[in-house]
Amino acid sequence: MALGLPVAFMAIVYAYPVGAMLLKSVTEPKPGFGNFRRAFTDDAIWDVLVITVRLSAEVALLTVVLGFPVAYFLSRTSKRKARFLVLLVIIPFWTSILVRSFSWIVLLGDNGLVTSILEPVTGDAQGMLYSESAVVIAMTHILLPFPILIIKGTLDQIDSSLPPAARSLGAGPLRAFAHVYLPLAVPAIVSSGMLVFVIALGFYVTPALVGGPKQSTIAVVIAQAVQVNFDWGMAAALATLLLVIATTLTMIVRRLTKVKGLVAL
Amino acid sequence: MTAPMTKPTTASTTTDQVVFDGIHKWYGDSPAVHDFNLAIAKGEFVTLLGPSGSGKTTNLRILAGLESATAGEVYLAGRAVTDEVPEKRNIGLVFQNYALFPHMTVAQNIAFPLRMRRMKKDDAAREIDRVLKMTQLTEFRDRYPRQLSGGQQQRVALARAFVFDPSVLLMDEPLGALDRNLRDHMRLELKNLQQRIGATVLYVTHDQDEALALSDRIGVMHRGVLQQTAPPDELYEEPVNSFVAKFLGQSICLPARRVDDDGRYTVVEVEGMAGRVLVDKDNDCSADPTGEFMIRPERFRIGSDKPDAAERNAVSCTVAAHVYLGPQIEVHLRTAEGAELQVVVPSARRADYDTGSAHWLSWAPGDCRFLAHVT
Repeated sequence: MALGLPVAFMAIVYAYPVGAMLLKSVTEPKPGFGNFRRAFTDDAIWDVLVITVRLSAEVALLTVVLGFPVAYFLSRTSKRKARFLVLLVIIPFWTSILVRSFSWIVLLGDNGLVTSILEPVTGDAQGMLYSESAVVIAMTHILLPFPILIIKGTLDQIDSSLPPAARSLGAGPLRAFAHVYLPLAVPAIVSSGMLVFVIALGFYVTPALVGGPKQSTIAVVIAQAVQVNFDWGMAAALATLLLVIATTLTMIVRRLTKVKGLVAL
Repeated sequence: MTAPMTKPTTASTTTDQVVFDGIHKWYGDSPAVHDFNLAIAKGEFVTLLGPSGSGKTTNLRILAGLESATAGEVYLAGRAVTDEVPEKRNIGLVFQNYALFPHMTVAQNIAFPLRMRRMKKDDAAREIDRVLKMTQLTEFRDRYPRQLSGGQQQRVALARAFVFDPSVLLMDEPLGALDRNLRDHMRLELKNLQQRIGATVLYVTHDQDEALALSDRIGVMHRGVLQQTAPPDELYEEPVNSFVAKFLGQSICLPARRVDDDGRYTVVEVEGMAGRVLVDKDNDCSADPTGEFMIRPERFRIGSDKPDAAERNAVSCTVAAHVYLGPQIEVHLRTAEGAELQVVVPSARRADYDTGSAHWLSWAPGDCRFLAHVT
């Protein structure tokens, strides 16, 4: 009985829309796999899919690479300092993605702050706006808090006596880190990277604002299908494709990391 | 007589396995260890005993190289290691929480120090098999630490700490996380193992039973200062100050003043006791005229009549309360002047010690001590 309400809630809010979407992809405008056939035979859509996956992978990699040292530092500093610094990580998180994407337009645009700072190095006053770099930078900034918070959560759980134990057993600082500390952090690194990847796959606002036509992601194309072409069937088929990609890659990574015998803490 | 805190001579630094020479450790403005000197012979089992915060773990971490001393030198097998990194010191360290690597099996945990020393695979496998057998862990070799009981984890930590033949084994409350029964069992195993491999051990605990049962010598620490170092029996029978007397076993300590000294006996006045008390000259350990009168409850003789003068020391008192302990009862008595004393008597005779009944306590000058007051 107590389960009834949450189950009903989940059914209405998650199961129904996903089901409706799946259904639409094979019923609109007429029943059959016509939408998928069209999507698979359209080179432009293949390009968009490749770009979307590549962007998401780059962002996932960057957020993890940048996030790990921050998480490491946060978990080693004093509790009071850490609480303050975590707040600094979270505050941008509470700011609208739209606002943050617009700020990157200003920063990365012609004569923007980033451009002027880099000008002596690059000798170029032209901004990097509407490029893949711009999209990756903006999305990395927006998604960075995820790996930081997730990895910090795991690092906090690692017994602080393990590195000294490794040292006493003959490991130098680097080997203690590589053989003992890092392996215990890998599950969090992998899962936070996967989370960022999946969220990035569906990113719409940032690529649309900061990227150019060449950085159209699948979400941008879906929006176009709905808003410009009123092609609901195509939109649903592409959304289904996105779902399949995200699920498949998540399963593969789960499988791979499990095979390695990693312990989830 | 003061605490025997003699500095190790240069000669001892070459023959002893471990030497702490004048170690000081400050954390900011607060001293954690003050002038710590200790030499441990090869094969010796030495325990640092003290309450938490007394500086015993700090000393252990300084020897392991996990902390640096503010002043002083540490020697290992005759070699000054004060400035050496921990991985070069060849010390086996057993942590209270074991610090086993959760992503490695039992065998991999034990292999870790050998791998770090780049030992050949065959040789390492042989060593691992040997210590697995010694610690009765062979059947658990492929388990992960989380699949083991506390006692088994403890044995893995131990095996990992001595598989590479370290010059000294350091143990920081290694039995502290186990329940009472298992602790008693592991205590025996630990002692057996230490004697079989002939390891030099520096052991840290706040548990006096553990210290008494395991150690060749015990150093009692308090507020960063080594109070006394002695074999267990000597420490119990001949504590040098009131802290050691109270920390190890039961003792009665009462404020007292030295009023006379007749060559053979020190004469003291004890708060709450009428008349004067004679203390053997050898048992006078206070540099100051004020100190504490100390006696173990089992040294009292209790009787209903006033003892004859041959007993030297006697005091009359009445029973205030008693506690039934099974084989014995602990009788709490009070003198007319207000001193509280206790004795332990066989519980078969408990009928004689009703509350309010009057008795005489007597003891010889050799049974009591006059100690420096250290709180």
